[in-house]
Amino acid sequence: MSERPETDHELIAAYVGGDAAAFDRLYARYRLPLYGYLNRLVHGDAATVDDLFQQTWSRILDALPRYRDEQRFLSWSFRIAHNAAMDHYRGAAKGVVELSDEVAAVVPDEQMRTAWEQLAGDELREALAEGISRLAAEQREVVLLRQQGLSFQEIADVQRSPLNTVLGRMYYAVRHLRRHLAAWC
Amino acid sequence: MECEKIQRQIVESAPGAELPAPVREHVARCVVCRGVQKTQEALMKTMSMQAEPSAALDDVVRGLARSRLAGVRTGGAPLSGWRLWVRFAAAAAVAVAGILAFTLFLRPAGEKDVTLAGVQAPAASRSGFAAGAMPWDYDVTRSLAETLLMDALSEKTEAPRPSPLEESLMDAEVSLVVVETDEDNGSTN
Repeated sequence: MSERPETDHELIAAYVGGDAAAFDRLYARYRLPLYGYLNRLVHGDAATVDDLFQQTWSRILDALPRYRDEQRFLSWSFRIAHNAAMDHYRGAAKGVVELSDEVAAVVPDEQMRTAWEQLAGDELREALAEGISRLAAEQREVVLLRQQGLSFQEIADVQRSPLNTVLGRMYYAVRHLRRHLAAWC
Repeated sequence: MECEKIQRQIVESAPGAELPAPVREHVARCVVCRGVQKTQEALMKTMSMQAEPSAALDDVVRGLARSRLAGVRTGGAPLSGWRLWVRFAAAAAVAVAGILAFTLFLRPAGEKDVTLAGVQAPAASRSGFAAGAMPWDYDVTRSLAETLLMDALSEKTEAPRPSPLEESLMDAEVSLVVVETDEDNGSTN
């Protein structure tokens, strides 16, 4: 007889009540989706992705006592990750987190590639990765969140955009990718 | 037009879900829509190609969780910077308010008279700061409270008429001041 798996809400309540091990189980569920999302959304160096990942969890920990079971933890945490990434972009726009030319010149290309790119073995995957990276930021995020299993409504909540806008972004993203992958599709 | 509708259905379908029969039929005979479907499939398959955080990063996040928990148990994270100053200012304000409340409302009325007499503030000016003869160990806060109280009372009530004994003492005080002033000027009467 197998035990019923704990719900996210139960784990959160246990953690807020003082059970540190409950957080470990919650973290184990979402570490991969969140890291993968940030890794491909930011499309930067591993250190930036790690920093954003840590920031995301720090914000999640701050907000956990206020978490309500009205939405899935997955989409709730993705919205926090989205906000952390947006803050990163704003900082980058101000030149705060941009790598200087000197630093970029010393860091080998291999290290500058994202972990996901390094994992992509065959040509199709590499082409797909390149195509995704060339998408407009909003379209890329819709694709990435969709890949992580979020519904379009949840993605609309994360992006704070109308549902039709999100659907449109996905539609145009796929069309763009299809052109990019013309040799395979 | 039909292709766009079909492609939207493909894109909006849940990953791995079977497409409706009319969509499948269209895809079978339309190269463009087939390309969109293949792209969509390839896109969704990349879900299995996850990068993952390092063990060190995992440790950092779990450590964060435990430190937050420890902070909650001990009544919050250690105060620092402006939070410390805000807490200090609030404590100081509460302390001053407490002293004022005690001075104004809780002390027996007789004690007020004794203290005022001890200060020997001039009858014309009840301000302890204007008295000029304030003892070194005099409590400024209490003086301020007493001044505020006396000002408030003087606005609402008529000043009590001094007793004959007080009048004679005041007269003696005034004549004493006159003598001291003359001595300071070097002329004695």
